[in-house]
Amino acid sequence: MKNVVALVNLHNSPECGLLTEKRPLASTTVLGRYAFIDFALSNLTNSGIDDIGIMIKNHSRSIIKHMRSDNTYLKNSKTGYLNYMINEEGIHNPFYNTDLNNIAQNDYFLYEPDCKYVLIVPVGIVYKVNYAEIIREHIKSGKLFSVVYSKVENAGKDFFGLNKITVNALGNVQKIDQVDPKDKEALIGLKTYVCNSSALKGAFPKLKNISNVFTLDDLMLYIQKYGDIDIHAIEFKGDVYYVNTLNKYYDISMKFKNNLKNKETAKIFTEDWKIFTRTHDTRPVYYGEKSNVKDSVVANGCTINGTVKNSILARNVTVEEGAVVEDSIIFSDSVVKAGVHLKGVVADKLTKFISKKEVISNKDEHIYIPQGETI
Amino acid sequence: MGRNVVAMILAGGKGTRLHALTKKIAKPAVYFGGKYRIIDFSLSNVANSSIDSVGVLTQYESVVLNNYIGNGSKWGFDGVESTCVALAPRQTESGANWYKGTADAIYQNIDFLDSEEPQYVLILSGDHIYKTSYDQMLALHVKSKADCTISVLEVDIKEASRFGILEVDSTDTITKFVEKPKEPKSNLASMGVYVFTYKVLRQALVEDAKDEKSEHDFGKNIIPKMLAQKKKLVAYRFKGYWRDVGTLDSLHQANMELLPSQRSEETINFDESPKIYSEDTNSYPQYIDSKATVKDCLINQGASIFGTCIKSVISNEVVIEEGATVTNSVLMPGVVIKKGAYVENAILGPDTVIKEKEVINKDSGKIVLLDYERNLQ
Repeated sequence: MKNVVALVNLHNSPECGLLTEKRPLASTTVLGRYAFIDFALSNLTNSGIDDIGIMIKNHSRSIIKHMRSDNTYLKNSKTGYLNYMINEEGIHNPFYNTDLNNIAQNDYFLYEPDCKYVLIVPVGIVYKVNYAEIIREHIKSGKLFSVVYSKVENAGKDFFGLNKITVNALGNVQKIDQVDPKDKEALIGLKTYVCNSSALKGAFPKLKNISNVFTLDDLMLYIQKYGDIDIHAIEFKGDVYYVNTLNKYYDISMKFKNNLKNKETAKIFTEDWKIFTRTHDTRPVYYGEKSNVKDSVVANGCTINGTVKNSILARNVTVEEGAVVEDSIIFSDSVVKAGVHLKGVVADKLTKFISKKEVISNKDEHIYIPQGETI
Repeated sequence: MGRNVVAMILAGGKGTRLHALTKKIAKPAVYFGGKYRIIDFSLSNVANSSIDSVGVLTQYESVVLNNYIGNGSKWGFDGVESTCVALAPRQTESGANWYKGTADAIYQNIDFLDSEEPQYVLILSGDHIYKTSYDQMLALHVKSKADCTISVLEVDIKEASRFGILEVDSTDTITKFVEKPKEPKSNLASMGVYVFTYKVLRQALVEDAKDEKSEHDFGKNIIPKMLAQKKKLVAYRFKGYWRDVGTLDSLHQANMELLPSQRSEETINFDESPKIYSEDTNSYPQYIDSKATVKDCLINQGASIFGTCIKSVISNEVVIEEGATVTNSVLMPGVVIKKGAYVENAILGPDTVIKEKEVINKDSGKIVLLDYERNLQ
């Protein structure tokens, strides 16, 4: 799609405590092989969108290290374009380091003659979508702005922190509210917007005279409340996952693991939809003669001689003979020595479990081990 | 300014002894070790030797191999002033010819070498499994002021008659080269890896091309003639893991040597830098089911194991269904072993499907090959 510029918005990614203390959610590992940003970018690649901006809020080193090469995500590295957008003026001021200011600072793309539509997508909300269809519906609506939503059950439990919308009979947004913890069925805004670039460009001069509009979410709320135009609502029908706590990270990771076992369970990993990520040139997995692996996902580079059950092991993890890893997620380059028993643990990369015999969580809370710790 | 070294990889061989595996693809494109193709090793070795210009000479069933080589980005040859190009036989003013031999393959691409202006040319085979840097060999070639340096492997003297054997003096200067001698007087086998000073090589190739009696082969023609002309040829003693996987048995054996139980200090080490590079298949991570049993295996991303897998090498997108058993086998990409099937001592070519409860090669003791057309060799 040559007339679309897509922006991957890292400004509104949820914080998940210690898990995202040293990196954004975007570069946090998923299923031992991917990072969250891979899902957003792969949706764009699979939708034929090759002009992409990454709106970085913070931890830029971690993002750039993960991305490494344009060629991972772009179909054509000459006609395609992948750009890192950093709000250089506002990056040190949390009040000004917002997605709207980032766009204002990097608005060159709005002046490109080919840029007729701007698609803005989130990272913390994972779903498999063909954006070409979303953009077609936006064009068909004739509106200047569209928001993508999904009808969900258990909105308060699974999507607290997002907005819910009401859609009128004409298919336009009637109301925007925050999700209430008690909400059950609701239409959840997926922080995914399609704008006519001329309309987005035209909004910036007006914003200078309006207080309390700092973010894209604020802008949509302002237009809906006070604007003289309608925002079109585009429904996404499919599974949506929102990661905003360590426990949600764990639960969703395990759902994705089950998706690899049964392609019908989560519908994120299907044969027609590749997830692109950078390669680390790691070898296949060594399973030793004493290995006992059940119901687990294992990334290349691992060496397993112990027991691994209901777990996810990222790249280059070693589980020695006599070690037991259960119900756990172990990030890359970690080592579990002989005799150690882990259960319900989320261990960040480069952790070493050497002498403590048991690290076992209670049922409700998972134990997080920070990056590089030796236990 | 010319380059210091250009590498030329001979990758046109048919590999007839690999039967159905090379029916549609050249031997260097055959899968190995669950993740790699055989040519990944040569190309990675070249990349890891800081050589940034490489020509890959393809001929037999070159479509897959040419496509795989692409612009060389899999091995990092897409950097500034790097070159990686597949050189298939082509039509010129003088007509169109297949490569008549290893030397002719280089001769037909002499314009490529001329354009690169190298001081030295590294010529190697694209169908061997080993991990090395050619730095020391190149340094020896320069230091000894040789016209040609040949990498040699010390083999068991009983096996020596299978190889091209070099006789050397006390300084490892080569005095004689004999192709597959009946009574070998040395155990130094040529690995088919040569460093030539380009000016010398160019002259030798031009002379050889004019010789109607020549088979245009490095081992049979170029090297013996250079010795006769009193050129200086030096042996470089390679130490380490090196395998020629030219037959089904040797391909199976080399795969089995990668398994945790069979690895030794000598075995190729994938973890130690520099790495062996290959294509990333964009596969999902591998999944091992609650009913699966996996012991002593090498398994690549994208595989799904629901059954039993013992002493085997498993490639991407392989599925071993519940109740199926695979033992002592090599499964190439996309193989599916249906429920209750049994496979032993087998190499299964890409996309082979073994039917439910089918039994393949149980207790035969021999290695068998099945491909997607189910031709049992």
